[in-house]
Amino acid sequence: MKNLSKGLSYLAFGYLLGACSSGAEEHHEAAHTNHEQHTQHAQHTQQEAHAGHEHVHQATLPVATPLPDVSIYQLESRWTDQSNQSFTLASLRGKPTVVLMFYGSCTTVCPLLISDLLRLDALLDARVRAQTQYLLVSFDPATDTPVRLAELARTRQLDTNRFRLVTGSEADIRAFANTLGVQYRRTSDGQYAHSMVLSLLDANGVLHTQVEGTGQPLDPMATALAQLVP
Amino acid sequence: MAPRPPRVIAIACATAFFAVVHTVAVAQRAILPGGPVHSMRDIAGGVYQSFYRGAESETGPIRVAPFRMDTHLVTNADYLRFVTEVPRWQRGRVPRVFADREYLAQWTDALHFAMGAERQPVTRVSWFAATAYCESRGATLPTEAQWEYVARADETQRDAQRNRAFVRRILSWYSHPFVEPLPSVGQSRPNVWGIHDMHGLVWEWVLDFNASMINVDARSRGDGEFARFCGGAALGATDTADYAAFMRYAFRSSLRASYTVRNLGFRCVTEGEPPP
Repeated sequence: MKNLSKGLSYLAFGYLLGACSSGAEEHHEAAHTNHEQHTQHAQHTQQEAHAGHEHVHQATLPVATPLPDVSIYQLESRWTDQSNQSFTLASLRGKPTVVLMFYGSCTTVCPLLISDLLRLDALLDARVRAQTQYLLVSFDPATDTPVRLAELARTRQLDTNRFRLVTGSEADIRAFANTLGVQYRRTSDGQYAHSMVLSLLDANGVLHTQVEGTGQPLDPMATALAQLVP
Repeated sequence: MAPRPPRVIAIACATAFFAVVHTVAVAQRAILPGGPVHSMRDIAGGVYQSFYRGAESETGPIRVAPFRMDTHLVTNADYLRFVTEVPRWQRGRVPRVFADREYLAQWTDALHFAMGAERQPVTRVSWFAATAYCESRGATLPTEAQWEYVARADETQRDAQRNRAFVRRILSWYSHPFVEPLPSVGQSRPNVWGIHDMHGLVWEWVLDFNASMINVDARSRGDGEFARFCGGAALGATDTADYAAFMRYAFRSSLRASYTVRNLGFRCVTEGEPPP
C-alpha cells in the first residue's frame, strides 16, 4: 500500500504535462488567437443577422450560427452521463463549460481536482454560477459506469443540474482528450497517469483558458467565466 | 512566440535509402469492402522491454497481442481516395480544431498533388485525420507499443536492438536534415515481418501519442513545484543505449493532435485475424 501511494504521487507530480514548456506556451497563445477569431466571427455573424432581420433576438443566435471551426464541439461523439442520458457535445452550446478529465477510482489527485472545481464554483456570483456548467469526463469507461458516476456525484455533493459526469467509448475519450491537449496513460496496475488540467470552454465550445495543476489560483478563471456567461 | 517543437526537430532524409524504384511484391492482400487494396501482414504477439520506464508500476516487459499491420505507409494516392469519399477531410473543409493550417499544404489543391507523388507517403496530416482515414478502412492507428514492437525488427531478426549496424542506421537517419522530395514508399527492404519503411522515410503517428509523457524528473516530485522539463525522462530509461526510441518518445510528446508536419505520416493496423 505504501508502495502504491508512492507510485501514485510519482505519477501525480511527474506526469504533470508532457510537452516541453515552449510547446505549452505556444498552445496557450493559439487558444487565445482562436478565441479572438471566434469572437470576430460571432460579431460579424451577428451584424449580418441584424442587417437581415431587424428583430432577431440575440439569445437565439448561438444555435442558429454554425459552430466555429476551432470548437471542440465539432467532435460528433456521443456521451452518457450519470443519469444514463445520452448526448452530443454540441448540445452543451449556449453556456460556458468547465471541463475536467479524471477517473473515479483515483484516490489521490482527482479528488483534489474535483475540490478545485467546487472552489471555482464558490468564487462565482449567483448569476454566473447559474449559467456555468461542468463536464467531468472519465478516462476509465470500463469502471466508471453511469451508476458509479452517480455515486461519485452524491459523495461529492455535486449539483447534477450543472455538473455532468460522463463516460464514452475509449476512442471518443482519446479524441476528446486530444482536443484539449490532455495526456494520459493507463498503467499496468489499472491506474491512470494523466495531465492535471481544468479547461474553460466558451458557450460555443472554443477553448478559452486552461489551468494546470491542483490548488492553483482560480480567480482568473472565475473572472473569465463572468465575462463569458450570456 | 516559440517555434513549434515538431518543426524544430531536425528530421531526416532518406539518403541511405536511394534504392531503385521497383514494383513491390506483396504476399498478402486484404481487399476491403468498397475500398482500395491494402497490403497487410500478420504480426505475431510477443513481449519487449521498452527503454521507457514511466513509473514504478511499469517496469515489466510490454506485452503485444497479435495484430495486422499495413506493409506500407499510407500514400498520397490512398489518401486522395479517402478525401474523395469523405469530403469532410478535404483541405479547406476540415475544421481547424482537427487540423492546423498546413494540412495537406504540399498538395496543389483539395484533390490534387504533384505529378509523381502518388506513391509518396502522405504527410501533413493531423492525428484526427489519420485516425479518420484508418477508421474508414475498419482499422486504427497502431498503438505506440505495436509500432515500437515492429520497429525493433531488422531484415532478419524480430528484435534487432542489439544489432549495432541497425541502430546506427536509424540514428544516422535521425541526424540528417530532411530533404524534398520524399521518396516513394517501399523502396527499402522490408523487415522480417514484411513491413517497409519503419525507419528511414518519415516519422509516424501512433494512436496513443498523447501517452508519451516523458518529462518524469526527480526535480518535479513531491515539492509542489509543478515544473515541466523537456527531455528529463532519461532518468526513467531502462536502456539508455536505446537513444533512437527515446527520440521518438520525445518527438511524440511534443505533438498536438491537430499538428501537421511535413515528415510525419502514418499507417494502419487491425486486430488479430484478418477480416473475412
